[in-house]
Amino acid sequence: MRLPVLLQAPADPIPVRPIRIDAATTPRRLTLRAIAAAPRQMVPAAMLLVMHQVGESLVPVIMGFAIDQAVATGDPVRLALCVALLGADFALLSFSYRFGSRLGLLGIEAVQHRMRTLVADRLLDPKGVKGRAGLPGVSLSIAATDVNNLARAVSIAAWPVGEIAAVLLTGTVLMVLSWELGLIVLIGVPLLLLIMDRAGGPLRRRSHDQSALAAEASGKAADLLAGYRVLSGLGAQGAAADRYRKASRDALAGSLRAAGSQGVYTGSMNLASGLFVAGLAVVAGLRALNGDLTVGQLITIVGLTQFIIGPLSGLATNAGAIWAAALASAERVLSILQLPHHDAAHGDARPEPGDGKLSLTGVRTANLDGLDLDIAPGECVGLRATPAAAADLAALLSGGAEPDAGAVAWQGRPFAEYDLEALRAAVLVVPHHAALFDGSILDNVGLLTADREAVDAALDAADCAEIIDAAPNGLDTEVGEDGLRLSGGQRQRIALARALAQRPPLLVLQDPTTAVDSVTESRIAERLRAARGNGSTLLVTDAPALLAVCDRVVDLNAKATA
Amino acid sequence: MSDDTRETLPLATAAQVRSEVRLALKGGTGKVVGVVALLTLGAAAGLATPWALGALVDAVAESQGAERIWLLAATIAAGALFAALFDGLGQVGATRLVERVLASTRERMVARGLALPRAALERAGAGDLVSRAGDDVAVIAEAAPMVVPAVTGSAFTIATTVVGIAVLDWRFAVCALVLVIPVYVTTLRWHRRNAPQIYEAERAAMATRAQHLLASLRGIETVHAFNLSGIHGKRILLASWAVSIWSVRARTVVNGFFARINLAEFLGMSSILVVGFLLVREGQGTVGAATTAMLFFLRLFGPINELMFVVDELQSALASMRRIVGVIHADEFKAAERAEPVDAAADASGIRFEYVAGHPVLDDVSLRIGAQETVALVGSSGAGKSTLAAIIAGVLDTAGGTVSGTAALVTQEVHVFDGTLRENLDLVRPGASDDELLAALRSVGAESLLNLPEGLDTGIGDRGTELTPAQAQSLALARIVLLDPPLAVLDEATSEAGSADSAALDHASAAALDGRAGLLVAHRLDQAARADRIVVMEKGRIVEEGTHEDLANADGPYARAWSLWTRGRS
Repeated sequence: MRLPVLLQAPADPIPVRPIRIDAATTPRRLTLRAIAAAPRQMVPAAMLLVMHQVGESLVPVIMGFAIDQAVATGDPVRLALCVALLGADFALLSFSYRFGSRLGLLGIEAVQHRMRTLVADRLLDPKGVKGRAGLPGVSLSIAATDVNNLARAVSIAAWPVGEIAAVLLTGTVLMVLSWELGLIVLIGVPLLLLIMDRAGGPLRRRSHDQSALAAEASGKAADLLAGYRVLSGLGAQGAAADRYRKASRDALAGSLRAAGSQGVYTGSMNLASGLFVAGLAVVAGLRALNGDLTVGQLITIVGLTQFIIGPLSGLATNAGAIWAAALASAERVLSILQLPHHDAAHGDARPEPGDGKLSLTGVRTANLDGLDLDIAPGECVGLRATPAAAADLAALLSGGAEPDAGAVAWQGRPFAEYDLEALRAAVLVVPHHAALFDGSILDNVGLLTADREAVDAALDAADCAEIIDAAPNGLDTEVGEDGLRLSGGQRQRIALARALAQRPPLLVLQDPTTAVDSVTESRIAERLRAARGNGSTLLVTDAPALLAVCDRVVDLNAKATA
Repeated sequence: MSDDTRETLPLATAAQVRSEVRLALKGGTGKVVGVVALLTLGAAAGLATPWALGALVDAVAESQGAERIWLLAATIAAGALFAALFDGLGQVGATRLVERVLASTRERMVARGLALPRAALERAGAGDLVSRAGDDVAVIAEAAPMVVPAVTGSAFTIATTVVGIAVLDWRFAVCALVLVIPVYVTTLRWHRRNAPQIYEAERAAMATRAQHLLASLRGIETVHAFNLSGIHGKRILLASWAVSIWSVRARTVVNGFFARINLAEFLGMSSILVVGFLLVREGQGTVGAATTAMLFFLRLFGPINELMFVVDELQSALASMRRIVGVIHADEFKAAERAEPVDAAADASGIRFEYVAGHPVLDDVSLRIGAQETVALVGSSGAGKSTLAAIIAGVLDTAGGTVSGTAALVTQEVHVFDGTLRENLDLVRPGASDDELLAALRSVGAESLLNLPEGLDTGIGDRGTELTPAQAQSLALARIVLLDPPLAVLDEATSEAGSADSAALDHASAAALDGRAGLLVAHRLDQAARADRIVVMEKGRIVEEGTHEDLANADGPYARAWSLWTRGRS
């Protein structure tokens, strides 16, 4: 027969209490909030782990009892009773641990998932990041390893509680047997914990340095592997591997330093708990010698003393190390969660569905000198501009920046009044370097939202028929990570089709055909107007074939020189 | 968006992992012996405590006096001191050894990962490789300091304690071992049957999570433009929770493992109790001996647990190690030995290639490029130009036909590495002097790169000064000048810059090809027109070949493309 497996992770994430994060949140506070975030799992887990430790500490007590009551008396009924008692105690300690540890893990996983949600949401937040975002590899390391370390602190809400209970119970039993022994435990334990905190200081710093260096090395690996095509084209893989080796050696040096302080820490902890046991032995031995304790009680004391080393060193090493690592990781998690957004203001207005007029009035930025531009519904406007001016314009139109002077409005309302995502659904500014994502061609063009008719029309307009024909599974062909199974020209056309399939009221395209040949370019130009229907289009390009199909062309370069 | 079609990089066999560790430890035998000796001494010193506690019971029972008690306490203290010293040193030594092995293994892995065949890496995805370099390395780094001392220390403790029990009365040892050993053995078997696939699934889920996150971060502009933050966030979090589900399953197996160990402990203790009971009743043993046997047995729990526990860590670490070493042992990039062409920069004949069986991309293509000759490759996208260029450059291996000659390749895909301008350049010629680097930049007319605020020390790439596409391309072309190959293949190398910078970049690519042969994949026909020879491709074949004048005046595909190109540009 197979018993049902209890307490598995459900298909959907387990909800936790909200974890508040603001500019004033410190790593310590974040760690504490994480620990307190899953009481529904951690409180029962702590109770079960207390039961487990009670069961563990009763083992030597029952054994001492059995020696006195059964072995010494030779009574088989008492022997059977003692074996049954021992069996019941083992059942208690085994099952309470089994379910306590699993509940505790569920709590840790729930908090970990919540924390990763916060990090991922911040990294993908539509409002972006002020300035430059960090290396993708570094962000990845924070979202994976550091979130793990931080969530592991949640275990402090359960495991040490059981260990403390064991120490208290043992202390009480010892106190009953002899008050001096009870005192040694109750004073000695907090003293040990204090030493642990002191000794943990350098370890915390080392652990911080080490994880920073490890993240740097992993970021280096990601960066080099991202440039894999460039490296293989130049035969520079060897030099790149040398670069990684250097970062890896730095990380190694950090690990070696951390290993040193970890060794000192563990060694001093073991020494302290050993001296503690020696003190206990002296007092117990002398009391027994004086006849204050029976041999049976001495056996219990010796058994309990052997047992208590476990939870004591657990308290000293695990909890402290977990807390130290969590604090170091919390700081790095906060470095993402507290990233400032870009400056542009946003409201909560939503554009009217359908057409609209874009108007730029006297817009001034670092590279735009008083630009006036209106695009009426259905109009197709070409724009020639320097790369810097085009970049400024793209930032403005995508809601990522505000002009130094002048106004940008859609449907007569300033951009700043609109909800950012609603605005981007109306005014779609396609980046020149548009990325494709893992998935099929259909997934990439339709983005799971556009209907099939729109996808087919867009693929036709972007002249993708021949790509689909050549692809082994047609529309369902996987494009590969970053679309790398397609050629550059194919990627650019699929990306263009994706933009057209969204059918936004205003579409801003930047050099959309730089990677395609002139025949294809002119085919795309011919079909572009029809594909846009009633929508308006701003084409930032120098390509004559594209400019030729525009209603009018604005030349910022000519203006600048005029 | 499924991962069904994703091929993953291979897993190494246990034998491959062993030989890799041996390789990394080469020459460090003395250190390994030293570490084992320290840990063994530490375990031996640790035995002083239970021995002294047992002696304490005797001392009290036999009223041996206070001096004896103090002496035994001093023994415990001294034992603790030596145990702490040797164990601490041993742990540091073991961690250092293992960290060194790990560092050399991960370095070999990245080196090999970079040298993987391009097709293999693109099928498996870079995220898989990055996850192996990050997550898996971390798993082993955490497991190692626990596994090594546990194996040496605990084994010694267990051995001495079992001997101790047997010395008290052999019947204690026999009864306990007969009952207990089969339980431990079946438990280990049960674990080996259940655990490995769960750990492998957990690691694979971590790799998927890394892949999704990296893809979204690299394409963050696109994510924002198309309002994909929600969908991509969900995708990442789905992968994240999948890891959690596997972690809880792994814990369930660990729990079952420990429940079985608890059973073994209960059986052992009960048997010692019953044997002690019988021995005392038959007058063959004393209460004191039964007590000591029990204390010894109680003392076995910790080390046995530790040993059994590291079996678990070991499984998990081995799963990661197999993923790491798997990259090292992935089929090597055999840049098929290429002959030097006679009187030419490159000679390719009868080239065939297909990415997917039955869909040929190149079908019997032959192309010879003379020394110092510039050949332009034109044709519609998907005609096979880039594939032919990659094969001639030696980045892809041909599936049929022969290629001779060596070349460097620059594509439209520019990657600015995170680091200084100098580091970005001297990748192709480590140790090049500043003058050489500056000269290379100057020769491609990269004035704006020469004027960066801190010169060659300016940080560029993801965390430094952002380069414009044109600057990034001139950087790529300067790398060619530094590398100085006999043939340079430029695949749309100037297209990403947009039309505004094209004139400057045309000049730069001409400079990069100066004094060497060039193969130019171009769709900007004015660039093609300046080449010595133009080769037109369609659907995987060469359909037209000749000088610009010949082809422009013929009635072929080139002439049609040329007339479209010139319209509106004169």
